Amino acid sequence: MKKAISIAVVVLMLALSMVSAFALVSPEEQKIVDALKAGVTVNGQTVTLPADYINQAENYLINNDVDITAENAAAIIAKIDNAKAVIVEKGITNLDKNIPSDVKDQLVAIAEEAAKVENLKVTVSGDKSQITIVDNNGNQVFRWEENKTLPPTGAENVDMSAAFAIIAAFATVVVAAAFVAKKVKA
Amino acid sequence: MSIKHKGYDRKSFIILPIVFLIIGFLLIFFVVKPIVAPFLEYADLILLDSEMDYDKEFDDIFVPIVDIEEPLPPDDKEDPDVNAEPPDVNVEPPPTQPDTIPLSSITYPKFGTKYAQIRIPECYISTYLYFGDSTKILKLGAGQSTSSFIPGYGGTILAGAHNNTYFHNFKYIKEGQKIYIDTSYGQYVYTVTETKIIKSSQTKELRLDSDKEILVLYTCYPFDELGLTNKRFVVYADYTSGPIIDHSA
Repeated sequence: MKKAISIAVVVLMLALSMVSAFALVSPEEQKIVDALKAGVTVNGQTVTLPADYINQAENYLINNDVDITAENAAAIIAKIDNAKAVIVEKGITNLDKNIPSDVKDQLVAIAEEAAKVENLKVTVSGDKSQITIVDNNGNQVFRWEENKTLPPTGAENVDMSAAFAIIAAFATVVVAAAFVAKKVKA
Repeated sequence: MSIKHKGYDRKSFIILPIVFLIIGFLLIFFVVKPIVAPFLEYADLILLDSEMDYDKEFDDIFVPIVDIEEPLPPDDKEDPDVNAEPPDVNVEPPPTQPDTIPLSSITYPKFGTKYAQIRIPECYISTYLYFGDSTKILKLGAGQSTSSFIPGYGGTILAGAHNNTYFHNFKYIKEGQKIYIDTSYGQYVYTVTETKIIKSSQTKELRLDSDKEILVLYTCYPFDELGLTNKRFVVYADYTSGPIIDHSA
């Protein structure tokens, strides 16, 4: 009987722990989303994170494989508050562009600390115009881009167009060189 | 070598070639390109006719809940007869479809996952939908921005595809037409409300902060433009039917 009860308890605990493995935003994860959505006041103006980035974070948290503990959620929220403090201190009113380089460095450092909590990796492009966060499997979970634009969706044949442009450029240079050579000879 | 000769060398061998290059490229772009463009397309068909196997890199969780035809390869795209009756489509939701489904019952797509199929029957558009919009994904079908949500979630669904393949027939899209997104957890229908031409930098026009479910599709504009353009043709569509996802369950 005791054995049956203990087995039942183990099964119940397993079932409870597996619930959070399915797609869901837990109360702890919801707190993270709420923290991201809450704006800050900078020089009398309310500054909020663009929906683009909040949605990316929410999509990551919804994911089946993501299950953030209360402790980790609190740590991440603390980092979000640190980032907000930097934004207020430095008077940043636009989080899409024109962020000074030193502020970017500070925010990236905070992001790296937050990412470490969930074993995520932050990479920054050489010109600091793109910041990408990936998980252990290399899957992109977040991407910030300065002066973000929609991806190009009309360059399917650009391979041949580019080749043609290069060939045409060479042909032009050859013609120009021949012209110059003729002049020099004259 | 005299100073005059040096100056002549610089002009002849550096400045003149650069000037010729710029003038030549402008001439080619504006005058020759429209004439050569069709031949470039044919060249692509010949030179790039081997199937790209990026598909193996991406997960596939798409199992439609109703029988639908697989998308045709992009080279087999048809131009619709705008005067004809629209093709026969599944216009009613499948009878077994619930009004709501728990979020916990859905396998949420990750970046690079093929998880749905988009169909716009009146424009003869049908393509798979991937979560993520990388260059590789856009060669395989429509790519959804990870800044947007899945159908039924209650937010904006934002996806794009190339104008000369999967969304080639966007030129025939009109208000009132239906857009179907078939997923493994339900069939969703959206009704086109508006189309617009925007610059690729006008990201606020994508309505990612919408408080109701909308579908936003885009492709490069003009539709027959080869090469890069900074304009996008955007289609907005309101949610019409499909299971609502219960976030709390």
